[in-house]
Amino acid sequence: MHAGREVFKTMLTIMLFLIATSQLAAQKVTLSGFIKDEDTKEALIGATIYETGLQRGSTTNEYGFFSLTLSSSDTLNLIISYTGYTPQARKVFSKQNIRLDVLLSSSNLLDEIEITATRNDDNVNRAQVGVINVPMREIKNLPVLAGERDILKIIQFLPGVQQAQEGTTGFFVRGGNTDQNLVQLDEATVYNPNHLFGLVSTFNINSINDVRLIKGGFPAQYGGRLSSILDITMKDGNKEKTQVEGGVGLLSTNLTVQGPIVKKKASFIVSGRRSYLDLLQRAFVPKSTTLYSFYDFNAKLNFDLGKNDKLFISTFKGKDNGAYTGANSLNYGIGFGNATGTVRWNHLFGSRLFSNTSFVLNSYDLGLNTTQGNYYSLLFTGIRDVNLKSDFTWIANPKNIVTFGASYFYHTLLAASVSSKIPKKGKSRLVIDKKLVPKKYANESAIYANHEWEVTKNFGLNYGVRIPYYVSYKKTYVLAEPRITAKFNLSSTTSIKGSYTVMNQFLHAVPYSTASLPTDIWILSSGMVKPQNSQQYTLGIFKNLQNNLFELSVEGYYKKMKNQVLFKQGTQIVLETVIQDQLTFGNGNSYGVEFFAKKSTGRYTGWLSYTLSKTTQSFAELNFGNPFPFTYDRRHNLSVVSTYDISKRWSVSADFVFRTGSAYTLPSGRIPVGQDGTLYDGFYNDYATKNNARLGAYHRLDVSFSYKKEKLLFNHKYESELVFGVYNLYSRQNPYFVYLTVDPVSKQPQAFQASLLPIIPSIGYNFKF
Amino acid sequence: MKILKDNLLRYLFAVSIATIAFSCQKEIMIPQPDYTGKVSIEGIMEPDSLPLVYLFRTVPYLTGSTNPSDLVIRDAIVKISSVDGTDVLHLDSVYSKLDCRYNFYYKGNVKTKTNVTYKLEVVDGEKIYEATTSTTLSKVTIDSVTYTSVFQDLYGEHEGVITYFNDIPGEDNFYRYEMYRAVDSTVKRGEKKLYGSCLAGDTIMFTELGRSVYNDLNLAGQQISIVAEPALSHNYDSLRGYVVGYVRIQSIDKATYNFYDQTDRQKLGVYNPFVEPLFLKEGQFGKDAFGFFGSMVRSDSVYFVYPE
Repeated sequence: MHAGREVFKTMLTIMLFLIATSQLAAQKVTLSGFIKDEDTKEALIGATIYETGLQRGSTTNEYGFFSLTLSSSDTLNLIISYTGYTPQARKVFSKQNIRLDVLLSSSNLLDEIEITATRNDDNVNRAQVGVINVPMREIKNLPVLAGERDILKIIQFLPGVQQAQEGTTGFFVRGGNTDQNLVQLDEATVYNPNHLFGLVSTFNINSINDVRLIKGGFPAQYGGRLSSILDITMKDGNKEKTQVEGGVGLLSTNLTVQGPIVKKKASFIVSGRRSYLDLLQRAFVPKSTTLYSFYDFNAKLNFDLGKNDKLFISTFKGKDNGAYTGANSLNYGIGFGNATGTVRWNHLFGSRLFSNTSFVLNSYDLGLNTTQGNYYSLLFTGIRDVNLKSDFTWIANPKNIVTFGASYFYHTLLAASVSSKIPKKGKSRLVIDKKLVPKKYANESAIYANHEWEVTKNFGLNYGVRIPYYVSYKKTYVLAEPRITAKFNLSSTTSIKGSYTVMNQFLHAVPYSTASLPTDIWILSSGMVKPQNSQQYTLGIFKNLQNNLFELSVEGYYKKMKNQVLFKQGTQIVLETVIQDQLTFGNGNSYGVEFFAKKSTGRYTGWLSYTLSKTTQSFAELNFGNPFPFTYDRRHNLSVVSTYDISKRWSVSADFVFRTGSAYTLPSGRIPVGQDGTLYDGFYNDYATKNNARLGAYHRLDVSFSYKKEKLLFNHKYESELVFGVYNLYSRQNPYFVYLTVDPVSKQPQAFQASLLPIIPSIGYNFKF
Repeated sequence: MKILKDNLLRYLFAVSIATIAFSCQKEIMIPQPDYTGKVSIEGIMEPDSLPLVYLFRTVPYLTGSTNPSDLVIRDAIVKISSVDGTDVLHLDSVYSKLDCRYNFYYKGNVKTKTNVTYKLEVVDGEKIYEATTSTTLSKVTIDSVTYTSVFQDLYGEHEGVITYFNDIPGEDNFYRYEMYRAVDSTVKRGEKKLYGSCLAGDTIMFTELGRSVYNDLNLAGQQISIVAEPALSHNYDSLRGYVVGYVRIQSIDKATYNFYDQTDRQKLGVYNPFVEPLFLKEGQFGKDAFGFFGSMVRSDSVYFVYPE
């Protein structure tokens, strides 16, 4: 504890000294305010404000706020821009600080927008690496599976990100397991962002404003996971007029309504989605043995409480329910879901200090019930979090941005089950009373400070420290997580960046199955289960071409992971009594090179990403203590994503992916059985090396066409879109898994490959008015 | 907690079935991984019986011979010694009409005694493998044997023969089920009629062994019930009448238990593609040989009739 506090104090002192010295300059004027969409007043995240004479600029934060401090000048020539919006030029005359709120209008121009000098070039000129802002406008045009556009499937096309299983939303980042990704919706953790066992994510794309993936060079405010932060921000709601949009796909239908509560001051957005397979089944296949449904619901209210205060209240609930009625009175039921609630308060202290304070509740439940013969049983597991955090951003000047804050989590993990004989008629069954379920608790808090410092015109630093403090059942961990990113500009459009980050993780999901199923078992760090830890080194070169129209980057990384958790080999959970006894701990190493090329504006948009990587794990109790490839170690991972606007109405999109097959374990030898060999088909297996074989390569091409139309309906503009999609156009039988059998006659081992999704055409209809 | 985990597993099975139902599959060719062969030794000492040691070479998984007779180590020197002296075992065989082949093993000349420590020595070329065991096990008494048509466990839903007996208190005990019964060419294993070409209408006596082994953990001195899935089919026939068998419980030592427990759990992992396979741990013979040298004693048999 003492060491952590000392590190934090020292870092803070250095920051303040450096900022104080940089303040000793000429007279300054600060411009600050919000940049928003003109029509909806939605905050524009990552918009740029740029002063052409002094060649200084700033970008908006996740609330649309910016602050730009400049040397005082008679006239400031500003250009405000944002991808997909018409740039705006402004002249400002002032010797004093100015509050400047800017509205940008959406651009529907098909041609390249020529004012590109001020386009956001953070990818080159900010001291940050491993950060990708996912453009929502592009997502809305990409091919879909079964008519469902999905943010998590788009994430899988990015460099350094590997898909878990075919068709699922699970993902692995730079060799880390799925539990090492923190998925946040409006700052609330979503523990299981999946519907339908991962075929669809829980996020309704119509309610999302911004998505940001951080996979390296983590700023100090982020923690709690080793591999990535997926930060999803919901829309605030249209402050000008009521707007309705929705869509009908093969799996589900969705509807979003947003509008003002008090015009220009307060707004709401409500969004819902429900699958209807179960409704169709009930209507047309009443004797169906399997019923499945899911829904999600988002709502958000936001209030402008004067010029310097904003209040956001948001909630999310997603739920899956499935039932299977089998033969011999064997019935299963499953229900799982997340619920979150967030209250956030933004406050501006003057023109340079921005604060956000959040109170977040979230809950994740998984319930199973089974009935078999005369017996029934129930299972319940859950996670409850209470989270309070406060973050401050002090934009001392364009060269110095300091963020600092604190967070506190109270984790509660629950698990219970009952089983009994089905009672006679008139008597009730046992139920699980959630209030009486045994619970395990942990306190996780952290303080952090981060300084983004433009040391010279060509050299920038972003450094900080995060100190997590974790307590659970008398076991305390106080750790220091230093973070530093350095940037050096080779030219105004080219930079080299390097970073070093340390991360720790106190909650672990032990993967029981290799599929992205909601059966991962979450456990808390304890004396025996040490926190997972990673150290990551990143080095990259970043280049923009044609006035930032094209972004190019090559990034290399090396990540060391400690205290990784897996089940011991051969674990069949039913055989075991105590989960902790079945765990084994080890280390991981991942390194790779990621290439990324992107074009964000114009008729043609898209990106190409290629990752060459290698990930190994080393566990004393697995593979005889020797290192072995991580299951999702894929040497090559290529994604090409393209959208072309043929006309104002028609657009075509396509994506192609190629991945080396994931690793699996193939027996090396066969051992004849002496006594009654028939029990083992005559042989048992000699496994010499774990993950010594590879599934075949995975590749797939998806295509979709979109037809957009606008018309007047009851004097209101009505926009509609028909989307025709084909998933896996050439119907490649991609390997899902390989299983082995023995020919009953010849006794010769045989390998079979199972494939999941062949060509799947789809049609969807979206509307907005 | 156990029920909680049972349900997870059942749920996983349901999801796996649903997943596979949507998928398609095909046979694929896989290259054989590099492999260095080892030795397999299975030796068991049962009082009042002659010592038996099965000795094989292992083979590459995909390309090796599938006939165990080809893999028998025929030129090894196998010795079992005790305070009573040394017995040099000889290669012997018995013809299995079920498998249509000879089963080879090394057989001793001196019957095993109770409460004696035995040492096995196998000389295979330049390598020597050694292990010891003691015949100190106590046999149990079976209370009753019943039958259930539906039983659910890791193997799915199946019928089961349930054997009830009392654990011997004060010792660590390990158990295995066996049934001695008559079989003929009509018998099936699962859905497939695998036997018959060599039976040629004969009826032979056969010992079915339970693949799972059990320990008395948390049940010391209490009644234990073992539910075993019959390996071979049994059908009432008006000519042959009801199928009958003689059920016994083997008490086995820890080395034997560890070996069979690993091989059983490995097989379960092979059946379930979502479970990481089990690598066999180094046993009594070191890293170059698999297997065990253990002891066993059997309970008195109980007559059992399948209630068709």
